[in-house]
Amino acid sequence: MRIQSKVSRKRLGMVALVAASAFSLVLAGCSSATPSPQETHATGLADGGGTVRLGASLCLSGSGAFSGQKMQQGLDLGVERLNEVFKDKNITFQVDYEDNELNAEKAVTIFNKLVGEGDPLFVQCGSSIVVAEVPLAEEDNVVLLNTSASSPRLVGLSDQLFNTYLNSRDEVAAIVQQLKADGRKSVCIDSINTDLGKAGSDLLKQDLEAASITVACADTHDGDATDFKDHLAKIKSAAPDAIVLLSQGTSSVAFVQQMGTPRHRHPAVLVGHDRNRRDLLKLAAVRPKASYTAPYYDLDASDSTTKDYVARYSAKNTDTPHFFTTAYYEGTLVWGAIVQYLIDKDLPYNGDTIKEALNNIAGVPGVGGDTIKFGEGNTAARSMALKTVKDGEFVFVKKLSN
Amino acid sequence: MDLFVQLLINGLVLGARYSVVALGFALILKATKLFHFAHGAVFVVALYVLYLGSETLHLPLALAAVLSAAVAAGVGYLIERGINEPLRKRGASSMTLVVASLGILIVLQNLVLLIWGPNAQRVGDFSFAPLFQVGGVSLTSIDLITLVVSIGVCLLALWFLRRSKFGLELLAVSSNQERARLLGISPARVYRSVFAIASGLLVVPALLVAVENGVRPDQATDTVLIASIAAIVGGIGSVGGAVIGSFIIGIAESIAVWGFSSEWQETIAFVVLIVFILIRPTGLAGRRDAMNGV
Repeated sequence: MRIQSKVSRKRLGMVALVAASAFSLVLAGCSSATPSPQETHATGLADGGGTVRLGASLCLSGSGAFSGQKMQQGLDLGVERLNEVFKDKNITFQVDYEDNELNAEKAVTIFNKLVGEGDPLFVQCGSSIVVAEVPLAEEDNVVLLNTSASSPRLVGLSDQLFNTYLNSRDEVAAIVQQLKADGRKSVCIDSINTDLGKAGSDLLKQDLEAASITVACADTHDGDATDFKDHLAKIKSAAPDAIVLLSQGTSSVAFVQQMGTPRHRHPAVLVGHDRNRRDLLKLAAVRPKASYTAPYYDLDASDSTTKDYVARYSAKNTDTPHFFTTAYYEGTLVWGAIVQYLIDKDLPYNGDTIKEALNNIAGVPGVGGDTIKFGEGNTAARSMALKTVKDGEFVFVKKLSN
Repeated sequence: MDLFVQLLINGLVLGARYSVVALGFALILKATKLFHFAHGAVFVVALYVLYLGSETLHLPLALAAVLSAAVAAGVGYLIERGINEPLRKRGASSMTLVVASLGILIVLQNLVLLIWGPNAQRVGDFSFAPLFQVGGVSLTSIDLITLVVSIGVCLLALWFLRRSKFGLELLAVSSNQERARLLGISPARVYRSVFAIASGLLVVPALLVAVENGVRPDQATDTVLIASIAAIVGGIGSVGGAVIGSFIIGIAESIAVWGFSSEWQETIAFVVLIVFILIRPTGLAGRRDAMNGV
């Protein structure tokens, strides 16, 4: 007992020491000379240029690493272009990358760090990350440019949040239209248990009901799930006309792979949310009856934005750009438009002015001939494509909506 | 009813997959009284060496499996020889060894992540393996192989433990180290061997998982968690109990899907653990004295 109490006292002392250190660190942070977002570029951008910064809280490792690396690729490519375009105006674009490992808790720490360093504009990955950042962004007057998260919850979530990416709200509506057009009467839903999956699944159920399509079964899975035998057994037992998979990452790869095996194969159409992954194609061993919704980026479009993007990408890569590369490149197009607006109005670069710019920019030419224009709920209405798989490649079927 | 039977069969196959990992984990636990958490990381090493052999070096799968078993056994041996043994010689407590094991788990898992990246990789294409179907219930040939091979390996290991000279030495060291020393048995040699054998055996579940679900670096933690729960449910100190524990967990996880959402599937293992801790703290086949020193 005596030893135990000695240990406890020692541990208490340790806790006190850690607490004291943490407190002193907080104090040090408070008195730091680092500018707040409001303080950066107190004078107008037209006055003498300078560096404009963007905080990028990306999932560079962990289960979202594949996507995160593609996102970074798009940002790097876009920043290279911006630095060329704005060179004459002495403006340098700088992205401060941090790895949030697709972890909302870690993303909050990163957010505070980057705000402390003076970043007034952020891009990030994952709906749950955006949701975690929104209250902080409102408090610190930081603007969130969402270039990849698609949860329906993000529409109109905050005045600080601007969504450029295809939202699942529109995707779900298009999926239901497609199911109806195909004459499907009953559907099983399998969704990832993240914000995207949960909100998307709720919306899907509502839309299916409105379209008189029965939900024969609904299930959820973890983001790292790889064994779907039991899910597929449940689905088989419910015998639906179609399966809608609202998922992403390795779990969707595993699902698609397993649903195509002879054991589970049945006359169902899979409309997947996870799109255009070449490793998915390789792993899925190609299921001809599966269809996928995807953001619509027509890389053959003849507009100058698309041509420039394709040329820049092709100069460095031999493959077709991933949709996240394109989406984050588009983010830099919006960033460039913000800075141009501030130059034109001779305004400083901070949360208030960035928001003003985004509320007043009429539209930014995107990749594929689309125009990024923030409509209802600060969300841009984007086109989407329905694709199928043929001979190991995604094949475009049709454009679903705009 | 078909769904219930299908889920029951799925559970048996899942339990079979868990069983050989739990068997190795329980063997190490029995011999050294150590919760060897790094066992999960060795499993991932076995998975990736299998992938390397089969997909990168294009070796026949059997040869890749031999390579994987050899590397896994080597890694297990090195963990004992290079880390645990020096720590024990310096009088490290069992808690220190557990923390060291957790450290190895994290380091090895991240090393694999660094080398092969986070994406799932596939070993072979067995998606269209022959299927056996009775009514609405089906069993793939891989499921059948998983059941037969895993149960076979477990039975063989249990027989080996009770009948072979090494098995008896392991039991002697496990029950009383000093007495074993007097009988001329070197506990250090037994420890090294048991680490190598338990690690080498991981090739069996690694092969079955790789061809069915592919390989991912984050499989280390899940694997070792299930193995440790199986060891507790089966009864600490009982290798056979750990195998039975694996089947209980596998079946419980699958059957649960019948009534609950699949996202709760992984939680079921912990529910089983809590139930056992409350009702039968020593596990199915464990003895109270087996907990001493763990």
